[in-house]
Amino acid sequence: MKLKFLTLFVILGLVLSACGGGGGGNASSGGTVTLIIPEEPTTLNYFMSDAAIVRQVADATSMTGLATINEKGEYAATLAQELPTLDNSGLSSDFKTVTWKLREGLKWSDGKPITSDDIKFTIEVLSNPDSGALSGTSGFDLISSIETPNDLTAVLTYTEPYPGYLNQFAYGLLPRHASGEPADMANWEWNRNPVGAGPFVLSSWASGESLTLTRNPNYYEAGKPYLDSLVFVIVPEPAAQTAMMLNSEAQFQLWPGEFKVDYDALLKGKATQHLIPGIWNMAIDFNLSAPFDGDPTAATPHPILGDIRVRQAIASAINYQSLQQDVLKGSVSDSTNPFAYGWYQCDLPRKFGFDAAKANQLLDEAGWVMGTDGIRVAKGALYAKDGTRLSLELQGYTAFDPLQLTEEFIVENLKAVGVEARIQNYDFSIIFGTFEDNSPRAISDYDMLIFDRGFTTEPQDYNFDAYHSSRIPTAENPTGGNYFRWVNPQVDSALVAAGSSFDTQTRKDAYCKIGQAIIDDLPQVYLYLFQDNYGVADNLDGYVLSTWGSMSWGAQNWKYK
Amino acid sequence: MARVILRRFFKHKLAGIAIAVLVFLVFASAFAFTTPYSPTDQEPTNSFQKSNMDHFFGTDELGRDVFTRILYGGRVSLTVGLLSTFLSIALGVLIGALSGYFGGGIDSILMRITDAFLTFPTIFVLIILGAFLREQQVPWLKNSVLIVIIIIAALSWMWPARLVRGLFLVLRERDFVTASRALGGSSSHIIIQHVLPNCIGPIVVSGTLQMASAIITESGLSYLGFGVQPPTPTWGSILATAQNQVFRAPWIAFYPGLMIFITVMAINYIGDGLRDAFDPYVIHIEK
Repeated sequence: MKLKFLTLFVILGLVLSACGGGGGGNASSGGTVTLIIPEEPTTLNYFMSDAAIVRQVADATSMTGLATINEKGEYAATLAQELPTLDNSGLSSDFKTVTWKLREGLKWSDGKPITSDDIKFTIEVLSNPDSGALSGTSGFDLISSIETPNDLTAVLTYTEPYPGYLNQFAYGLLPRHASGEPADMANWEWNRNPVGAGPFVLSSWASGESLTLTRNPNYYEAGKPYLDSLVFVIVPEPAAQTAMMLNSEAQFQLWPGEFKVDYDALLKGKATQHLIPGIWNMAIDFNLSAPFDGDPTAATPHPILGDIRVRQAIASAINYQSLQQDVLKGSVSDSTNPFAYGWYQCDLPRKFGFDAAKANQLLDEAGWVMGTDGIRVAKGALYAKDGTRLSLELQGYTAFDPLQLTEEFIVENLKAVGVEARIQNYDFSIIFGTFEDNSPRAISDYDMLIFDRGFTTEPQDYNFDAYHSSRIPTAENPTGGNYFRWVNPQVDSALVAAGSSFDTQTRKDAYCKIGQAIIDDLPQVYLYLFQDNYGVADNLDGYVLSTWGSMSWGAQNWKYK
Repeated sequence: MARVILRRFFKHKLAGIAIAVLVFLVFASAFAFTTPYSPTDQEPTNSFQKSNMDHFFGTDELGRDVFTRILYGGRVSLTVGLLSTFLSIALGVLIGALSGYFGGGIDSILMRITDAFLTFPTIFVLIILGAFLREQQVPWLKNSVLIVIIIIAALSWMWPARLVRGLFLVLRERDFVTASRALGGSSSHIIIQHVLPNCIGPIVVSGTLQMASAIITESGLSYLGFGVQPPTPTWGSILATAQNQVFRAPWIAFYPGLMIFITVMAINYIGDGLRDAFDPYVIHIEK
């Protein structure tokens, strides 16, 4: 009899816990979804930060713009009635005037109307050099005038045609009435308690613990969002995150630490890991100029890496296939150049694939003979003095496991052909620091640097900054991003061509030319492209994972099965 | 006297065993090269193997032999753990003893210095130090174990110093100290012969705790850009990277954890033995 009662209790317990896992048994609408994020955003203002974590939360609340980028990488109108194009005369024939029309009856989350004046205000803020904005400011300095003939229409005039005119308004609109002075954006109360146009509104923020978002009654899509609330919990420890998913305490996990095969086995019946193409492209950057000589310009070539044959040898020494499949268990895909996704994707084959014999041959030819300790030394090399060891520092940033695994794997690959790579990892803030902070890559004090980089649907600014010869960082030009000190006139002209055309194919061709030049000239070697991974509870429905969105992008469509 | 102390020490059976274990660990690390693998040899197709006859402790995410890496890791971890603890305790005891015994002006000065060190926000000091060392283009300095030992000791001697001062403040008022002073005992005699032996217990406990934290701190330092860099293994770094694999390969975290545990236990028992050996009451009875 006792046993029967016990069994009954167990069954009852199971039934109750099954219901409790999700939205309290609510079938299609309502309920709460708990999302796990590894770190706390410092702000909910996308423009005030360059940290990827901000959008993970802000996409669901503060950051709804005139347009968005959908899962196909295409622009779609959100707050705007339609995208301004040549066909609907939203874009003038000289490409210099753009007319945005808002939907009718739009309201901010506090009930005040969204008007064309808010578009004007957003431009005023993002074009203000004192705003302190760190992201999303591209092209705003090109807008010379803004007319608002009525509450729904904003007419923007550009000083020159700007191909990224849609991208500018895909990240968010700022409310004039609820924010503050443009020059004071860093101190806006709005940043941590935003009035937005997104599907949810921030209702509480427990610092270091969680952010709670509740349904925005003024959201523009009728009947949405389906859920009552979203709770973002901050859990830094990957194992603890997965344990929460295991206990059904959370329904959405950002970047799980486990590989998909292990994750799915562990969480069978509860959650599944989804992999989608990401934008984070892992590559080794080479410093083509001499390090530690106090001269950040490209004037003096790097004693070892200045010789292209050494770079070719390094590229040939890396076993890409094993790195991607064995070390990273297929959680990444192959990538050979920066343009590895999106409308500008260039599928270019490697010129120097894995071939250790070729690597040895190239180094022999380049005047690097095998030393007694298995590391080569210079004997008739192009720039290095005889007797120089073929020893290079490999810098990276700390606390990111896949990066460290990649470094350790490459060190062994290079050792096999007589190249010594010494890992030297620094904190994120040092690796990505500024010229004034003496960040090694900015002042040209590095040999090789490995990290993951990516850009969005509008690639022009990023790539111009990274590859144009005028962007080599120096004391006079401290913000430049050409850390390789790469000077290639063909690349320079391709970058100008890509930035001055509205024709997608023309632009893509120009970018592919740059991609090919990188493969030929090897200022960097691309290793692999990360896939974004998300753990999602099996009872959640309606979500669409997008390369271009964050975890909470499209949260208005989520519901429980 | 020395013979009495030694005899007392080895009478504590666990202390004897602990010494043997510690010596064994040191030798195993020193002779790590006798294993058939190198700590950096990779075999990525053979990753995450469980313990087997080829790999006693299994393999890690790059297919490296965990047993070999633990042995090599012991070199850095034991050196850092033992030396930094010794240095920190030695400095702490010296300052604490002088401060507590003499009191007055000396106490004020030494304790304000101690307080000053305690108020340093460790992480910022380390970041500044890391930036400073980065700009000195001397790789061996940046990544040397010696620097790690000094840094850890420099940031941890304050706790034993405070502890010892407290003990001295109490003990210096005791009758046996007054008696020794009346008999003409010099300050150094009283401190070393009479007061210090009575403090061994608490000092040892604080030392044991510091040892474990030093081994972990070492791996934290490499996150800030100095200290030992990958792929050189240390127990702390193996433990840190294994955390992300805890569902897939819990054993990778288990073995370095076990080694740290064994080392700390050994130090603790050795400490127990030392306390018994130095216990003034027992020594006097036996003499």
